[in-house]
Amino acid sequence: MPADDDLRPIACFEVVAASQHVSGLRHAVALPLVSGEAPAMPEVPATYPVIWLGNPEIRAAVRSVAGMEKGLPLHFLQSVAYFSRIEVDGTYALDLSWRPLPHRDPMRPKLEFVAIVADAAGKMVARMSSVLLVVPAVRGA
Amino acid sequence: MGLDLKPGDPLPVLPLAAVSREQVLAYVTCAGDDNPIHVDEAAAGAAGLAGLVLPGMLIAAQFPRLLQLWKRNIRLTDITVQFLAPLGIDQAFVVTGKVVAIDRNGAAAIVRMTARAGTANVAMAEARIVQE
Repeated sequence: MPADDDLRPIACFEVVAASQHVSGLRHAVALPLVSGEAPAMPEVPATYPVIWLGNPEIRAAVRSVAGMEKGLPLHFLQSVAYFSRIEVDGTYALDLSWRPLPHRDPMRPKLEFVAIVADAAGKMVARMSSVLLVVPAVRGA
Repeated sequence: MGLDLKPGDPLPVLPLAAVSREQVLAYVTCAGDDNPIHVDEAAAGAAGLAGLVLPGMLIAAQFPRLLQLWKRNIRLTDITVQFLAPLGIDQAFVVTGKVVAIDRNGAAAIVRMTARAGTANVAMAEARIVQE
């Protein structure tokens, strides 16, 4: 894990692991197998916290970061480290920050967003890192 | 009691069918993922893609799913997923992996997994698991 000294704060958001939302994601990611079966997912899918970044308020904050205006973001790398469980219907604080990463092509910025998720007592529950590569749209396409 | 695993132990193979547009739409709606490359062919083309592509996190979600199907008595403590190539929504893919390391006297293991469409790796993941 790289040092976080150079992270630039964005904002802290309140997020909720709402049971209906968790259940919706559990069904949405349970892709059918070739056999036609669709085995059940765990109660809270391990990737659930990442979709908090899709909350309209958080998404808008991500979009406001320098470089994001240059095109469409492609997901390059995602990590999640858990320090305790995400509880269904639990309320958490998501502290979001970002930094630009070195990349050979200045027209395709590489940005890392780091989210620290903490419970009501301030105890860290998870740390997420999302690396996005922003790809310029092809002219005339 | 440890996980009773050793490096090289294989994970099962999870063969996933091609994903329908309806499934992609259900996912992006739930996830708040409004990147048009998943639902708008013109936008996907403008980004230099050959067609609509699966959301990366929809692929990534299959890795912990594989772990869950493999062993019920484990807990995922961290996972890193690297997205290697776009995966078209009409492509079937396979997720599998193996144990690559054991630590803490067998109480934790590192597993490496891949998502592959045909001969191309589209994503790879490394996860640390412990006994529940």
